[in-house]
Amino acid sequence: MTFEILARTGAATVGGYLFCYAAAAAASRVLPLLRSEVVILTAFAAVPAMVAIAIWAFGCRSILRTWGVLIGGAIPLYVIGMWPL
Amino acid sequence: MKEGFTQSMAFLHSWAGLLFGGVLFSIFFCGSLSVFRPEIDIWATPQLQGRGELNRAAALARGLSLLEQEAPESRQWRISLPSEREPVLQVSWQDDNGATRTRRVAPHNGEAVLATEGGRLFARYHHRLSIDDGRTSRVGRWLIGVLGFAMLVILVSGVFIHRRLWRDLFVFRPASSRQRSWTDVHNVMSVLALPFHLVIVCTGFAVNYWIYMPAAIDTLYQGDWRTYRADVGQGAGNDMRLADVPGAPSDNLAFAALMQRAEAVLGQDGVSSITLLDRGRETAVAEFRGRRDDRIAQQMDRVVLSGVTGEVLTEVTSRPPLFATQSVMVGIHYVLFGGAPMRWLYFSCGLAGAGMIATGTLLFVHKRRATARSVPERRLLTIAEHVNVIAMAGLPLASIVYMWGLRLLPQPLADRPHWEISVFFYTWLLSGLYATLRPVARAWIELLTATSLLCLALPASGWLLPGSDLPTTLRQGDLATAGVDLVTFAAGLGLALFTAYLIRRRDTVLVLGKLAPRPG
Repeated sequence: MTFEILARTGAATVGGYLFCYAAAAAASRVLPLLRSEVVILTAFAAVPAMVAIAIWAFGCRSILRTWGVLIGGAIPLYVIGMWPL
Repeated sequence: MKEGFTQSMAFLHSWAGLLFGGVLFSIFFCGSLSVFRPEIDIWATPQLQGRGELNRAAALARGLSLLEQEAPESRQWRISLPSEREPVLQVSWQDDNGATRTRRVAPHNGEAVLATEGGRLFARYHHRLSIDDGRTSRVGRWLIGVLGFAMLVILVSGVFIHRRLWRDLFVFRPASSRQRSWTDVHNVMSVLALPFHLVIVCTGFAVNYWIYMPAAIDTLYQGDWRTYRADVGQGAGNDMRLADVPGAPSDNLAFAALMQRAEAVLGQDGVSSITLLDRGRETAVAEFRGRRDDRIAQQMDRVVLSGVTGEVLTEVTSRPPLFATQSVMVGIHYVLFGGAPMRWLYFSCGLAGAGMIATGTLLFVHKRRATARSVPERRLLTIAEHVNVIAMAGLPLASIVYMWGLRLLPQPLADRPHWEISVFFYTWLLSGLYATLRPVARAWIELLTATSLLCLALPASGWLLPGSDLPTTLRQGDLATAGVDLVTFAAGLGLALFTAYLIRRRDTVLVLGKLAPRPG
């Protein structure tokens, strides 16, 4: 039970943030906008995204699967975001 | 979780609410008060009493002559014009050592106004917990970001619990069990103001968005946030730097001519502040900033003119779409638009938010009390009870003592804002200590009683300062000063009735059975 709660809280907060950070970094490389505009768009989109991930982390049946999706998604997104040009 | 979606949302809603209830209450409470920040400033400043109608042209002339008299040789002058809500004329200049000197005076008579923290204390607490000073630290803003996120999660999970949201809205059962009527109060305050709660938290993120999610700054600016800030500021600050060496003396256009050109862009009466560099020289430049209290968007329009020819060097009156969106969202949060009705809407919705948080947290503690068996849970609930009384009764007491401090501290006092802030936090600390030493129920009643008495008596403080007493301010039609007195008095009256009701009903939800011993 304790492990379950910790895993879900971690996914809702740290997991969600890292995923959103990676997604924002990836999006910033592909969005055809002024770079100052990209900062605003990605930062704004991260707020509802983080809330949705938090709800999902507590509402889903298997938290391990949620962690899997978050990590599995974050790694390629982070690579796209940080890929040197 | 395993038990199904609604149950896991209830778990999330109630435990996150319990964990963050106290501090979220304090943010909603202080945020609501900071709607009236300028009014509290005026209320606390005797030099602004009896100021009469604002005359912007006369204020501008006074600002210019003040600078001429104080710093005729300075290379940089700045004038911030007064407005109806913030009737203070501020002039500043760069002295010989390159330091900025500032003087704030009453526009109608030139008297120096009191340096006071005023309503800004509540604003600073609610957006940075009064932690960050200047630009060095971000701890306070990060904590607020985390709390804002928690608030959104609690709100959204709360919506998921209430599938019967619409029906619950019209349910109020004051005569049924007390727990149920408190639940009804919680639901009404949450649902009626739900759009406000969501909007106010989301737009709060729009203020410091780049601190919270700097991913694109890291990728597109290599993490250099200063360059990003300059980018997004559309050059503000960069085109107004003094040259290392001042230019040769030269004829300049008259100030009135420059002002006229600026108003052609910013609109009649559309200038809020003016910066003049190198007056009377070849390098003379004048910057005019627009107002932001006549629109929702918070980014100010800006015109930079050559002081010699009057030609427009820079003109910023439009901005890229997402920046414009951000600017409007910040404006929705700051509520400088819409006048008094909009401020009252924000104020009441914000207080409804504080009430929603308070009733929700108290309810949950009460419900768990009845079923808690394990020792750690009972201990946790005891701590939560104390946190609740410290936040929800201690903070209002600290706030009203702070208001008294604004008027009672000596007027010529070195570093007065610092003393004012100390009054607030030490009162809160002491009331917290008091609340932990007393039985919780007693602490609630006593702190609420003290708060309501101090609120009821606050208008009396006006007689201690020149021209600040209620009959005088009412006669002069000074709605800011008289309004703060009257609203505080009304709040004291409401709080006194509420406290009397709690004592009479021996309310078990709020005081957790100490006044009325629980069976068993």
